[in-house]
Amino acid sequence: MQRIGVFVCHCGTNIAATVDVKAVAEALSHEPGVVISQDYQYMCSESGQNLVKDAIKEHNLTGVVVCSCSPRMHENTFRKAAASVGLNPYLVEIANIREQCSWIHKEIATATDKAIILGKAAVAKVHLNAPLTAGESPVVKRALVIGGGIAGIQTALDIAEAGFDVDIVEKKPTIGGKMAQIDKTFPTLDCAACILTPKMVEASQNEHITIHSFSEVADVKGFVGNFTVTIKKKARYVDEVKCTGCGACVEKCPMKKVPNEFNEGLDNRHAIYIPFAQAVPKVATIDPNYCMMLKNGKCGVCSKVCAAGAIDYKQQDKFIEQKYGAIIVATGFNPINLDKYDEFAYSQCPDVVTSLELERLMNAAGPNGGTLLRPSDKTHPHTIVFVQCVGSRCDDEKGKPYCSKICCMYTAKHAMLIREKYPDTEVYVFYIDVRTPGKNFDEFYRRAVEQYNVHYIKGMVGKVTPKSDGKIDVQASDLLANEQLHINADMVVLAAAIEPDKTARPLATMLTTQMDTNDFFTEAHPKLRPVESATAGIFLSGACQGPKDIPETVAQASAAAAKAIGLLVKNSITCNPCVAHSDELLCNGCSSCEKVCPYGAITYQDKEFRMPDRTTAIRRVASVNPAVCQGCGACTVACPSGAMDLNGFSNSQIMAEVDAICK
Amino acid sequence: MQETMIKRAKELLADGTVSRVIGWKKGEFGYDSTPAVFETAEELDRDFVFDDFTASNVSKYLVKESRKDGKILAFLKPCDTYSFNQLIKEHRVIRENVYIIGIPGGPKLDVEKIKAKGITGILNKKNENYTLKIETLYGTETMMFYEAICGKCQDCKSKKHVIYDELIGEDGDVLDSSRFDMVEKLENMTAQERFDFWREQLSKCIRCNACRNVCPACTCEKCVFDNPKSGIENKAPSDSFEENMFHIIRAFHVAGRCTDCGECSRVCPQNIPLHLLNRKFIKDINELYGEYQAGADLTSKSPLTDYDTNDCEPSIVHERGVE
Amino acid sequence: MLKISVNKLDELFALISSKQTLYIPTDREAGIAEYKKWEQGMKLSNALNTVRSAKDFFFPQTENLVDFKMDGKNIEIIDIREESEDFVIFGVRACDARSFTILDKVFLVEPVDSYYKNRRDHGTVVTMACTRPAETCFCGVFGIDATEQAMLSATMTVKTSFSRLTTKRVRSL
Repeated sequence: MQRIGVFVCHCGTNIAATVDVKAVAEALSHEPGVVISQDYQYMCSESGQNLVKDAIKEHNLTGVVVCSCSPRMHENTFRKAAASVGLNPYLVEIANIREQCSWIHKEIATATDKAIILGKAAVAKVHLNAPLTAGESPVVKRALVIGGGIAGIQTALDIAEAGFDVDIVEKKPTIGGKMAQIDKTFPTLDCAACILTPKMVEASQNEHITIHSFSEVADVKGFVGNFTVTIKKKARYVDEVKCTGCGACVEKCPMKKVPNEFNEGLDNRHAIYIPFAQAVPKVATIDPNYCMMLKNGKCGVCSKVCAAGAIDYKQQDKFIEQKYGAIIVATGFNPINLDKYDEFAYSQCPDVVTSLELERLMNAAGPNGGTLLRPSDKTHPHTIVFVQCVGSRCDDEKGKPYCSKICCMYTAKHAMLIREKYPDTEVYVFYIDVRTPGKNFDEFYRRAVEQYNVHYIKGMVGKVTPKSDGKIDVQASDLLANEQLHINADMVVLAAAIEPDKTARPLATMLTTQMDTNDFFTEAHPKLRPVESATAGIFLSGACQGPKDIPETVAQASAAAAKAIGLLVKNSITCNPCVAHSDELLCNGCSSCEKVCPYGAITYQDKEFRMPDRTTAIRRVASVNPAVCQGCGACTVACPSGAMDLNGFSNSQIMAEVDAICK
Repeated sequence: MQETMIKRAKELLADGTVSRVIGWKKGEFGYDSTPAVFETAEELDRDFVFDDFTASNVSKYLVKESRKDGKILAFLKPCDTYSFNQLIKEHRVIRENVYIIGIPGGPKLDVEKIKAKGITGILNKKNENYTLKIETLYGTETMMFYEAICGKCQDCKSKKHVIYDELIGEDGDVLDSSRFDMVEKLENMTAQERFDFWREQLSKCIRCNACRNVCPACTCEKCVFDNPKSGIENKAPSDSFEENMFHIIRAFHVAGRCTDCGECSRVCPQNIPLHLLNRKFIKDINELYGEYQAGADLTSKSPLTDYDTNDCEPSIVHERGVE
Repeated sequence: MLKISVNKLDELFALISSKQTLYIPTDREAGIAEYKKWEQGMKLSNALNTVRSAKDFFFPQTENLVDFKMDGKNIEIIDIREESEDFVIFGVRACDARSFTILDKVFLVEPVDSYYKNRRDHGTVVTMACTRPAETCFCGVFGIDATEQAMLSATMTVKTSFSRLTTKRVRSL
């Protein structure tokens, strides 16, 4: 016989104003099995919890129902209270009479009736609750950071600081990411490389950090605390251990016509190359698409001049397998492809550039050594027009619906830097809004307008037309002055929208974690859990989760590291016991459940069974990994024979709830 | 054909490729061919039969047989091969333990159709041109061949063997059958007419469970109707409502996995047209989730456990159900 | 031995059903027969046998053992045995009729199944002899005479129906 206690919370006036809580308590006291039913002002308070604890002890309760707010708020509170006096925490059920009742109805009579029905359903369910014990699974004390930009580097440094081993996997030959390509950073105008390279060096020298450069994640198996990751170390045809980074090979390489990705294709590099001077690791890489030796078997100059004998044309891709307890995704972003933006003549005119290309043009290590020159004829630009929101805040399929966040600030930065260096150059910025939410951001932008005389015009650029004399006609509208403008510009800079890196989507599939339609990784809760993904053990760091600037990226990177450390510091993690389990005696081995599990929690094994006729038979049966299962119940529905059931939400419990509601 | 099959079976037994053969054997009367397992050449010679009455689908027996030691040879008609493929997909048979010989399909004859003509005391039959000469206890009767064709063969959907290790005879094509005609007729009735039709038909059910036992999709280790925890445990229903639910629940359970082999209707002693329920589901699935034939291959995913952005919205299913 | 013309069968049925409930085998669709409570206009089936045997009348697949009503803490029990009525089954085949004697051997010995006994006591069986057995019929094998074994048995020829009375109960009909 069950002995159930019912506790109805007023929640101040949140519930009591719309639901007659005393009537609810009274009605539920007549339910079969209920031995005590009372109401109280604030059940979640300490005295409220003591009420529950005392009742459990006094009446020897075998089950507790709390009619209150959503279980997401206080289910754990009441579970802990029950556990503290010896009642299994999973014999506690919450009936949500706030979010699902008092907050959405206005009439007291209807709301009270509904609250009584919800309470009855919870009582019916708790009759069938079984005591559950949470299992434990061990945690591998090693973290994997996917992506070696500032976000990945910061996360790795923080985790290493806590004493855990970290691996960084970066697909480019060097870590550093987009920040390495940036010239100066807002709002302080620090040189990006100057603040980044110390961190890069720290990462490479830290004994806890291992950098796998020119590598990609090939496969991920496992679950939180126990991931098995296969890393593909791509062949760079240079022995990383032997190469000293002296650069002799680069000097002598005859193939000079390779578009340089680091400078956004604005100049060329050699087939064997070191991406930039401060590259970490400082190791050469051969591009197999252009190397004459790898393509035609001719040349071989680099291996002849290499004093260390590090060139290895026969090198193959290598696959290594490693176990990790936590994975942090830091795959970063790219500017969108502007091929469809013919109205801005991006593909047609070399003097129409993106902001990232402008960074390289202005950078001392860029194609022009720091002097800003027009890409077409290498002359000095006298008039530069900046176009904001190219591809951002866009309604149609061509662009992105969101605001890319960083463009207003970096355009202000670009404008200011140009005006500082070339006071004779006029700068126009066409904007819809200027968004400067961060610390010292608005002051920064106003300096550009007031001190540096950058012409900010509220309006959209309609068409950019390159003219035969080499200049560019920019046709735009000035919405505040209500007139059409034509500007005779030398250069046009487009603030292109940013989007997550293209490798992110296949990676999300491998990790079974979620992305939104814009390919940004989805966080577990937009406000309260911004650095965790919905998949346990996978954390998010940096622009892969949403557009953000460097201060925010570093903040989030440290936050992700903190979460990862919180996981790694445990020797074992308690799993959620409300998971699916398969009754082996009923299981057919048909794999329906395996196919619908979104988390890959179900595997099949051949097991020996004793048959009714006293023979033994080997049968293929399903087995659920309780550490990975999230209790979604898809398998329970798909199972044709009803072998699969969900602990804590079994088929019979749900039917009992339905029966109680329909009475 | 029977001789060719026996000869090939004996060869495979002799050279050790297989240790058993599953086919059909003669029963007491000429129309009574039932599935049977043969282990020796003598048994094959003595009892093996393949004739107009061997309509039964032996794939289901392979669920148990393929788990025993040694390999078994199975003769599968085109419709049977679809069932076998589906069983492989669901890991219910061990493919390596079965050697399949594809044999020509129907049309097969149904003795119930002969009895429906009022011919009783049937002992044997002979084919002459397109007529059947039937020997009975009370003399010889005749009827047209086509009048005795088994219901499932009249709507044959495919003469193609979708899986086999070797073939006897030729492979055929997927046919453009009229198997959804009766379903459409039922769909065009009013809800009350349709309700009355099914109440009438299903009230005949005696819960012999022949349909469940012969169905290749019903291979659960423990059927939900035998499982007290399922909430629908039901051996002998106490009222017609529970009875109707047996058939409707079973149709839902095999939906998306039913290969339309037609055995359920063929074995029903009360001649309930159960295949219409399953065909309705197949027709609905084709319309809502895209054309799908269970068992046609080994890789396609059942639409009911797979999501595609072309799947219909649940609201559409709801609208169709309301009338 | 009594004789009655086949045309008068309907009158006989009407007469019997006015005194007790009468069940006869009737066709549902061509060739498939089942026992149904007799109503005016129902035709006696020509089928060799019904799909479900007459055993259903005495030993049904499911039966209601007891009804009870709850009112708070009070329970009222209704015993169905007290509410059953007399009935007649017409047209039972000899093979089915023989099965009743076998069932009697099981259920009418100590301890007696009172529900079964109740039904047996209330039921009267009228058999009909077979004139055209099927190839699957087993009456010969088991030594069942197609024309015996009931309280009242009948044989039908094209025009007339013969009946032989064997027990007092039937005489009272």
